[in-house]
Amino acid sequence: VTAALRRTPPALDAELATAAAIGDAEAFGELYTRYADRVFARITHLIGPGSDREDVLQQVFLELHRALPRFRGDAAVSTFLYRITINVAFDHLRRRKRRAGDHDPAALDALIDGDPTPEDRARRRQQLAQVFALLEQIKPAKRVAFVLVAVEGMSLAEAAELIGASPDAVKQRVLHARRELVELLAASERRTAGRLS
Amino acid sequence: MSEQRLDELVAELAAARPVLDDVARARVGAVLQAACRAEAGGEGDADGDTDGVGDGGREGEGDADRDAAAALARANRRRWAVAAAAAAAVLVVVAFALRGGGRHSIVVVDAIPPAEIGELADGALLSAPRGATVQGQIHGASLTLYGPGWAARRADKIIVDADAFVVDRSPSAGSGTGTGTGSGTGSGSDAYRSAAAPTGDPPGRPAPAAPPIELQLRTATIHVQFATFSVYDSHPLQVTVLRGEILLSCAGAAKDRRVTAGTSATCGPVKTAAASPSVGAGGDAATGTPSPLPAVAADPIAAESAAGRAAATDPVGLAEDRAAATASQGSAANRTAPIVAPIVAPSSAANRTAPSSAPSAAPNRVAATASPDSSADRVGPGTQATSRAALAGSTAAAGGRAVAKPPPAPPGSAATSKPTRRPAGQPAAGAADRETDAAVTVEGVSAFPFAGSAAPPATPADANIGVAAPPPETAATGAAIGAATGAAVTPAERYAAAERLIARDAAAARAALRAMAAEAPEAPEAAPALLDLARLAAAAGDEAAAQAALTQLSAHPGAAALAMPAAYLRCTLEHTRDAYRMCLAAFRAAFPDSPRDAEVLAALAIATARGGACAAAAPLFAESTRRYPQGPKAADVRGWRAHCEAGK
Repeated sequence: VTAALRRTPPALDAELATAAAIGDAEAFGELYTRYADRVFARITHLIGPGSDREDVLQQVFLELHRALPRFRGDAAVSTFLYRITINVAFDHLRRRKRRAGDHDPAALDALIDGDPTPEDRARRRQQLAQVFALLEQIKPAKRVAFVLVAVEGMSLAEAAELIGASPDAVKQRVLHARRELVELLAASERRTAGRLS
Repeated sequence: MSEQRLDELVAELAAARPVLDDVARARVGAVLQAACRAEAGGEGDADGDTDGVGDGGREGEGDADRDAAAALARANRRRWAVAAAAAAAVLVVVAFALRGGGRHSIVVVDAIPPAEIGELADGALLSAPRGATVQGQIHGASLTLYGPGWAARRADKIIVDADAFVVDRSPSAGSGTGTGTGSGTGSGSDAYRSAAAPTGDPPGRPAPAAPPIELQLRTATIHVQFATFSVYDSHPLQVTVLRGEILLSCAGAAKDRRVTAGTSATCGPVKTAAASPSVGAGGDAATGTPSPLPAVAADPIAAESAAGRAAATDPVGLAEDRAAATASQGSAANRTAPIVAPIVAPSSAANRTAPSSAPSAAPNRVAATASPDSSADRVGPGTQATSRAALAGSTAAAGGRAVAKPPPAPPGSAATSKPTRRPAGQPAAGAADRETDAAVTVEGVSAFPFAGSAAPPATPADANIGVAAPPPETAATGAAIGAATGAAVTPAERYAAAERLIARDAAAARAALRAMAAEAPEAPEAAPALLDLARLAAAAGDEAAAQAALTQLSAHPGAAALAMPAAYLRCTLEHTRDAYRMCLAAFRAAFPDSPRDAEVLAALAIATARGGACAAAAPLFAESTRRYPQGPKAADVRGWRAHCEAGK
């Protein structure tokens, strides 16, 4: 049965996009089913583990639905969708007030893969809370560039295509973001050391 | 130092695996569906396009580009609105032309030559996928199904569930052509063999060779001797008699109605039973308006099924798997559920086939199958001979092959579809149970409930225990529901209120979800409500209700967004190890990027090894170890792998 299933080629993304663009709700639902998880993961990396991720996810697919009639197939559907994801997440970060970084432990726990020991889980949860707190303190443009390149491992060209900027601009943002994050981290460590002493 | 620390933090973030939980997926999917529908209908921006999000975040592009894009989008929406309005107008005209000004939606039937199938054997199933037309003979009546739908013969009854169908039974063609064993022997329609029996065409003509037959639908029963009539199973159900006469018994109606040639009758509008803890008591006796479904207790088939399920024990020792699966299902503790099932591909995967969810060791059953791997069993449109051969074989081949594709069990077959569940000593319900559950399928039939075409419909028995009919606990929890949902008006509010109940009172939540899904079955929120309902039912051990909710979900327009969690949940409901394993394999094939892949792969490998097929499990173990070295069942996988290797 598995073999039979594998022989049935799933519809191509472009076919689904074309169908969805002319109002095929099932095709759009299929696109949502295919990409919701990946978009959600990217959104989490970009904006953190807050409950607003669902709103952003919803907004991304709404934007996709509106934009599909303009989709010409020059790029892959996934690229098109991720570009929208970046734009929506960026706008969301711009509009959102910067938060203190006190994330819900359960939300952080949900990000931890595997079955670590309680101690390991606590350590990883703390690290995630810290990195999200740091990212909250830099500007959205730098944050997005940094996450795409440093966290998701994209090349400068790939990130530039998604962001809609030149690779050099992206490179500068990543470097600035890294510098700021290091400074913030050093300041945080100094404060911690001062409190301990 | 700080740089190194930052690298560690970034690595930790990169290793994070955000998973979109099913509830969030369903919620977003429902909102998207509603918003997209609103946009397609020209109602403007459902979510407020004025929030400035749009594509405005793209750097390097000016406001002019953004404005141009927005203007283009608005223009597109206007064009779609005009097109939708024109299409709606055409549909209205066609509807009036075809149905004499009726107010019900029409069923569009493609001009497809029907695949003709001869007289069905007792217990055989005639099914048609969406858009296809299938014709068969049952009790001498010519039954034309417009898919999706199915019909089955049970003793002296015909059980039908289809979008539309036409029955033609005449003295010349009808009588004497049946080959079944149960014609005229059942007790279900004895009352109609009296003076009240419909005589049909020609009126008053005695027809000893062709006693009245009974068609059992979801919300009505039709008794007919000789007549030609059509049935549109819309909301409400509509029956139009072209020739002869019939007796229409709407569920919950006080008395039957005689419908004669040239007239129509409806059963409805459907009222929900949410406000009434007494299932099936919501009908309007004065007007003949039925309650949506008959009472559970009044249905011996459903009662038998329920009794069988209650008496069932774990036949294959899947309890451990189930417990693990239950623990992992969903994010909230009270959303746990077991696993199983025909995997359900997203709606576009209409051609996929699913593994059997029926016990593979049933010795007396044969089935025609749509599996592309078994060409000998294939039944396609127009392959009349093959179909007949399969049907003939279904009665002759005792000890035949295992069922490869389970038909949706019609009432009366609940026990036979899962023979291990029949309580010891309980006699079979009839000859049908002892003989066959043959399935006549037509090309395109898919066992994937969400595949869009030919989704196995809920059987009447399923419907009885399904969503629209609150079970007895409704009464007990009615107060809680009222307190929690009293102020809720819209489906969204009702769903939100029901969702809040889940954490506090699962029974009340089930009742509230059931009521919400019954009262607003087309609402986008009904889809996640049905999924929640299925999960709660599964967690409570009420597998019949879980299956019924999943079946109803499969027919919902928003099912595609929930295909993956629903498929997973169906897998958890499987009862045999083989079916469970095949279900998991099909799940992986249908959803290769599932966030549950680690869990499913591990479960699949372990289930395969448990069945003694260590050789088959080896590549699965290898893949699981390679891809998910720290997956949720990594330790179990390692243990079973070592066990298998030690066995070598």
